[in-house]
Amino acid sequence: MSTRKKLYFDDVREGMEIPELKVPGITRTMIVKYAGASGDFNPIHHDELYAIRAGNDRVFAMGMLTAGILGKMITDWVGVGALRSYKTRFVQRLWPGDDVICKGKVVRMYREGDEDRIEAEVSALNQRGEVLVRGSFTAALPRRP
Amino acid sequence: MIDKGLIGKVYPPFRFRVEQGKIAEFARAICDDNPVYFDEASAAAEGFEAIPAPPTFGMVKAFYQTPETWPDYASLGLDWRYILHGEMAFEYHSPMLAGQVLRVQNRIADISEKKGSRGGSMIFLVIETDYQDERTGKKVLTARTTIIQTGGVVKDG
Repeated sequence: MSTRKKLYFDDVREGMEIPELKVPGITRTMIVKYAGASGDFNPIHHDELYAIRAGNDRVFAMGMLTAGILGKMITDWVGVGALRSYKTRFVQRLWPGDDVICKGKVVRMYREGDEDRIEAEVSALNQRGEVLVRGSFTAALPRRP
Repeated sequence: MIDKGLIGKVYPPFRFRVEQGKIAEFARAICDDNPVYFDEASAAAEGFEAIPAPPTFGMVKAFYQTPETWPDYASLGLDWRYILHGEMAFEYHSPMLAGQVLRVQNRIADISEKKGSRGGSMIFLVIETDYQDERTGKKVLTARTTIIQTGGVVKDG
């Protein structure tokens, strides 16, 4: 009972935008939840005193939490099995209280071996429009039967 | 000064069990309610033999890593306080599924030094991680982690 509408290569165009995904108000609890789920226990992300002593205003989220949320936008659109590669670069820190807004756009459609593939550029921004994570992915899509 | 002779260094492999409960926990942590991560019938409807892992789930191998299987920053001359995660890249070879036992191996793919914009020098360390299905020998995932050491306190941009 997956709710995803199946995406076909035939229905994609270069320049097409990926449906946006917004996660409002990142909390310290969400950061701690991701620490426990991923095993990233760098204290800079959960220990406020440590983070401040290391020169930060407060704790901030792991880049991979943002990359994970951005990944959801991608798999909601192409499906979980379709991804062939996914790259992310961490540009700016995500602070508690900030939103994560994910966007993406198809930049290339091509054939690789026996697969029809798309390449897209993606980014995650905060509510001030600052880029948190910039990335790209490739995915293999089926042809419409 | 960092030792570029370490490029190519391979660390001992270790086992990483892909657990269904951990997939559900990880999916919740990245705010992903996709039923394929929680329900076998939904996973089957998407063509999976078992519950699949989200695209960034490979990070969970951190729980199975030991000081012997991952580069020790201090002995490389890096200062843990000034280290940040710069980039992460994944190449997907075959589905990562609940129930699999993966053989994971880390390798130093590159070390480089660059002058920072504020005069200090930045060190880039790239670690490549291979994930292989222990039972079938099939390649599942290649991950590339870029770690950056800044000259001082981590700044944005």
